[in-house]
Amino acid sequence: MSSPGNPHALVDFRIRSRENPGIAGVLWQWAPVVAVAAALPLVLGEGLAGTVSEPAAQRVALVALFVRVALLLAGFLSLGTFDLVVRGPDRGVVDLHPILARAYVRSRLVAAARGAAPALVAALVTLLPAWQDPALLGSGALLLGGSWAAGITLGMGVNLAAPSLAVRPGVAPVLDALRGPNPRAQAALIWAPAAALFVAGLAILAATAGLELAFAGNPAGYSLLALPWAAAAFGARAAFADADTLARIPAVLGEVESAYAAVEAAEEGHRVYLEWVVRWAPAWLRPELLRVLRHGWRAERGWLGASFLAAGLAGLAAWSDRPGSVRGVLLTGVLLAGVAALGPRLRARDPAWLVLVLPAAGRRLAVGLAILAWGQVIVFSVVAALTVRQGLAIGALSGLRLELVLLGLALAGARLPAAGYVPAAVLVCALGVAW
Amino acid sequence: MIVADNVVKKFGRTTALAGVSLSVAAGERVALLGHNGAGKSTLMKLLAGQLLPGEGRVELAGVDVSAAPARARSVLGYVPEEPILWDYLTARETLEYVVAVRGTGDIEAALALTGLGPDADRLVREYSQGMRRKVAIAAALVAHPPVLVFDEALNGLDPPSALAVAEELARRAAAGAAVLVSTHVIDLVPRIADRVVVLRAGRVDAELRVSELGPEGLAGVFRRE
Repeated sequence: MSSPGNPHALVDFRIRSRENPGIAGVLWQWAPVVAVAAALPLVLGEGLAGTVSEPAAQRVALVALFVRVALLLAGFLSLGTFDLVVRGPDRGVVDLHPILARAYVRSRLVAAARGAAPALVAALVTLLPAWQDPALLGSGALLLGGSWAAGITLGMGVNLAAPSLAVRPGVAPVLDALRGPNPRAQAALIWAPAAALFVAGLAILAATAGLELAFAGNPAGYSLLALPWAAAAFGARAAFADADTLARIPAVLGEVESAYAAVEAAEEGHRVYLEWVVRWAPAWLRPELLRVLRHGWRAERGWLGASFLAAGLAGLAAWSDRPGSVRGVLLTGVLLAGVAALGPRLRARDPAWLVLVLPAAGRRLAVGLAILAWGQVIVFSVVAALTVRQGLAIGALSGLRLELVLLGLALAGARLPAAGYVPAAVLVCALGVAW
Repeated sequence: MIVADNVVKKFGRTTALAGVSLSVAAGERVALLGHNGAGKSTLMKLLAGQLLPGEGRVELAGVDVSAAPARARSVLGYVPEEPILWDYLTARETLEYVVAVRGTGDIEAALALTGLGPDADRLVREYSQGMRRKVAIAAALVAHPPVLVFDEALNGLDPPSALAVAEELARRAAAGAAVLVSTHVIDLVPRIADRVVVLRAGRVDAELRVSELGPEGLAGVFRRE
């Protein structure tokens, strides 16, 4: 129950009690737990291979797993708090009136913790293989719990500090060096989650070193497990100290958005990524496919830009002499699923009049074809790596398999809403791995 | 009360405001007019702290908006061109929030003024566009801030509601508030303003008192090129 003394928390409580996410929404919220539970045996199957009879080696493998999950958790949550506190959907209302800054930060911290509860449960699922080793189980729980808390509070603290930094003249040279093609103010916002992850990462790595020390016979190493929790406390303190920056956020966001609008206006009429593929589409589909490709590139450039990074990652994972790496295939499937998730994202933004006026079949087909086109960079990267390392036959066969996975994902992405897409994508990836 | 002093605002190579100076004294009502793209909304956003001036200074009730945005908010009642509201709150709950964060306000009076009384306990998501705008107006007025900035706020209101809001703005000005309203509805201007400022291409093109308008009214201001 929210405190009636905190109007921000009261608004949160009222909205939450009335929104009905439905079964699909609940499934979507808890999908990470299902995904981790499904992936865990596959990951452990490879990670613990050859160590079954060696408890010490198993401990090392599991600690290595926990530290990766902890880093992932901290990174994911430091990004998530940006959406919650800087670009939250309620800012359009909150920004018109005075903010009770500390009360607002308190309500956001609670909301962040509530929203990230499934992520914590998903992370704790990875402890299951350690259930016969109480020391490892307890240490892992402390590490993951601390990383979860640090991700939230450090993310909140650093993301709240960013708008003030963004307009501070003394920091301008640093931001200019970091911003790339982005507006200066955006540089502070872009790098804030990275700064949070850096601090959380240091704490997590130090805690892990302490754990290894403890397992090597020095119980004092356990004390380092307190570091992620100390980072979490520091983050919370920083978040409350930064609370007064909340009133600066709309101006900084306004500057960023207007700067992007100016850049985008100058780019209008330019060709977009993969626009040339429309020449092979039937004439009746070309306008719609062109619209999806243009809309996709201009609205989701960051997402599509990340697909190049994903291609590099998939290529690296496939760069191996070992045939049939489950982890590699799983990773590629997940990355392809990420690209195909653009389908529900783009369709959710289609204006209502468009949905009414244009035939649905053409629209879905165009989205599906665009997903197929956007996913090729990842497929190509994996096929190239496998062809070089394992020969043309393996490369071609893997390419065929990945194209079928991508086709399944494109079908799901083109037809299903976000809540339905996630389980469908998990199913397609699982089938791909099983094959 | 409202001061924009030689404000310049550029977006990339586009100059939205090229040295605009404007002031609205306590007790005064000013209508801001201009073609689409003249810079009205940019000026309104600068006053509301939603953008930062490239050059120049913006003050509300003596508070520099860029330097002290939190204090500036407490003296301002602002209605943006496209109000955003919480869909899952009622109008009354929205106003309860505003009163709680501002520390004062008369919810029933604001509901009655905007004609939202009978619908005050329905969720905002069930409202029409016009009713949503009324909630935003009620939220801006409920705590009696000394500065009122309305960006196209009367567009889309039914005529009785628009007139009721215009009359309330006159009462607020008479009580000492500074009122700045941008609008394209020039027929309403004599009811909402004592003075008119016309922006053209990011500059103040004309400034005149409503009582000085000729027989052509504001149409004459826009006809000359």
